[in-house]
Amino acid sequence: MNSTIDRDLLAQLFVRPELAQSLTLAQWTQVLTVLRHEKLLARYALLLEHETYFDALPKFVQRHCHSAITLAERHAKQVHFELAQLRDTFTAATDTWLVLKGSAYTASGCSAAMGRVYNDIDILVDKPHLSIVERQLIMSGWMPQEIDDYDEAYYRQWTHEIPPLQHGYRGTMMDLHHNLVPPVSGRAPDMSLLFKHIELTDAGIPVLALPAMALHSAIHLFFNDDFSASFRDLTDLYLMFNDMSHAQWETAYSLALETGFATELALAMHCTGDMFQISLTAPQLRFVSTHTTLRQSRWICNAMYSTHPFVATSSQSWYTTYAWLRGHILKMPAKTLLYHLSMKAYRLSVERILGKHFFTKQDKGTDRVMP
Amino acid sequence: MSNTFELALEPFHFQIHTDIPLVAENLRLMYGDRVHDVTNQVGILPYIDYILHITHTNGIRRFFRPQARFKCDQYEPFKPLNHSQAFAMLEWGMNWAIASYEMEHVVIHSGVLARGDDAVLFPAPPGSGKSTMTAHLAFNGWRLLSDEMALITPLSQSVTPFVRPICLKNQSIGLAKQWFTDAQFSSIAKDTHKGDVIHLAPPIHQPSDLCRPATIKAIVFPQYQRGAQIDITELNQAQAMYQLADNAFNYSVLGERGFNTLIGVVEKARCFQILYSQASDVQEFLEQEVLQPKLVETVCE
Amino acid sequence: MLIQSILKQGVHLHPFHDQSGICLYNDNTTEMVTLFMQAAQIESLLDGVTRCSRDERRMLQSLEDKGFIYEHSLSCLTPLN
Repeated sequence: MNSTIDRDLLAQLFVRPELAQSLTLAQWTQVLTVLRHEKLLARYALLLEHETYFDALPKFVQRHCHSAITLAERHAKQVHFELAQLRDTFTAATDTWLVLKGSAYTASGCSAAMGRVYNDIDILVDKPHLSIVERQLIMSGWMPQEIDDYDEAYYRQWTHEIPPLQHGYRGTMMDLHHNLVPPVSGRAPDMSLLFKHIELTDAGIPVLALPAMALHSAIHLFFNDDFSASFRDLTDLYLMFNDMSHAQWETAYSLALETGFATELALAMHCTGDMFQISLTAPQLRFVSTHTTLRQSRWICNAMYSTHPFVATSSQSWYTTYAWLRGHILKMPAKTLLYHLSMKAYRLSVERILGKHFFTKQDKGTDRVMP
Repeated sequence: MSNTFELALEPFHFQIHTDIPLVAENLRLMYGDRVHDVTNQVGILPYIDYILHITHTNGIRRFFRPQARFKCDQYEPFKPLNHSQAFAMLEWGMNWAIASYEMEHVVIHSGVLARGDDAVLFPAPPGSGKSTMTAHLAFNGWRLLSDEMALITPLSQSVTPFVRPICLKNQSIGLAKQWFTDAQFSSIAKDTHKGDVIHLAPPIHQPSDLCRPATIKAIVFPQYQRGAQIDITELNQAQAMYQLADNAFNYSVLGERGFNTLIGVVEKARCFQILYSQASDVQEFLEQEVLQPKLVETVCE
Repeated sequence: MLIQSILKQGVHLHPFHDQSGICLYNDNTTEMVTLFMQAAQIESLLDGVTRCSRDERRMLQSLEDKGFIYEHSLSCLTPLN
């Protein structure tokens, strides 16, 4: 019933927000719906709110923008508060820890913090201290989230994370990592290379410096099997890349080579350039052509678009499947991958036969609306 | 066979997709000319705020224990419910969408009705008989702004109407059917987490009732007790806030603005705790003692 | 000592106009607390001399635990001899 919007529209709107003035009400309905789904509504709202034509946009658009910004501001406050609470717990247990991903963007105030909304806080700790930190957290009121046995085994055995923790009283979720990628993939870097790039924010929170932060963002996106937030992740990369000086780019290149993730950085650069129609500089072009192939990057780039039904084209699912498979292959050797995939396939088929919620435990969502 | 409806529910517009016939029937019963079937057609409303889906679950279960699922766009906040509860689930889903995404109002979980443009809030936990009170007033000269969610403009005492069916539970269902013989009722949702649930369409006296705001003059915390004599306690501001806070669930997102809004509402309203068994007694009290005095003052000047 | 001096940053205090009590809002945790006492009453407990009743102690301890007031700012919360 609703027609789709052009898949390039969101990217165009991001770099040229003035295009907002030409959207019809019907297009706005779809754009707002997709942006909310991609957790980008607040980011775009902040871009638009600063423009002189914002007040001339349809009233319902202004309303959704204001609401999204209000929510994002509350998320940001919560992250600052949560990190302040956590800082003492972590520093008591280890000298080497840092905040990763979205929470780090907010903590550091970098441009990728714009309009961020959060599900959880990501923290990385050096492996020798992981158990102590886990114990300290549990004593401070953090509890392992209830997940079924298979997922718990998956986390502990195969990945670079422990199962998610949730604060019993405040409800915040935390993911605790000891590496950027699963050791079982054979590509887990020597973390001491990254620890050299830690800097403290004004509030005393350790985060990666911008070049390392951008590299990690690239690794997380292009080494990952979860492309559900790929478009948002690309906007994060765009914002960070936009802020990087020539010297910071040089740092990013060296660190990517040292850690063995030059391909991922190159893919990130190529895809952001392609998606947002940005011309790369000569050094950037050299790096990209050295570390990726055109065929590889074209396939991957096509998987970065939003898969929302209002946007997806018919060939989208192939690209997403390719990217998903690539992510999995990169993360796990063939033998373990087969086991993992067959478990996933088994669960999917059970869900199809018995209905989607066969595996879900008590849904907190229902509690919220009960008057 | 999937149907698409558009619902102009000021101040919001919804698009609803459903393959469940009882949902389609109840939408028509409850919303009358505010709902439009736009299946396989171009929409009538110029824009849509939220796209909702209420559909059968997939799989074998559909045949021996049919269930309904609710999604707001792609997101599914609830576990599936028994099929007879599908319309109630849609109503709760609409509440969920507004509560989760609309941050331009301070939302209090409360009934709100107005006599003219003077509003009274009825914040209430389950079992307080709030909806029976709401129904009585709505059918006795008051206008319903909302049965569940008071949308308050920040830093004011102004409530925006969001007129939707009244949700009645268990024994109230039988009583309401006795009292309001001409009214439109939905089908019964059995065995929900609240027991049996039914929805009742409120009377709408004039089109402006759907969008004309009202000013909060009083807050009443009702407590229904069978056979009880009416017992009214006027609360001081601290007592009122203490109780109101339990029903205010989004002020925290709005932060200081939300907090100051609640303070303003409590300080500018008269607040009461009322034990009652006859809703008409409460109505009389509110009309004679609480809202009326303003008129008298005006006459004497 | 004024109560404002022991409230953490981000905590707002509103005394009700009808003098029935005060309301505190903590923007860090988004918690709200209504107290059936006046700011002046709490301030009198800060003078370092006045003893707290058990209820007052519990109330003040709760404010400290929930992050409304700075820790160790209230001498009356130190253990009684």
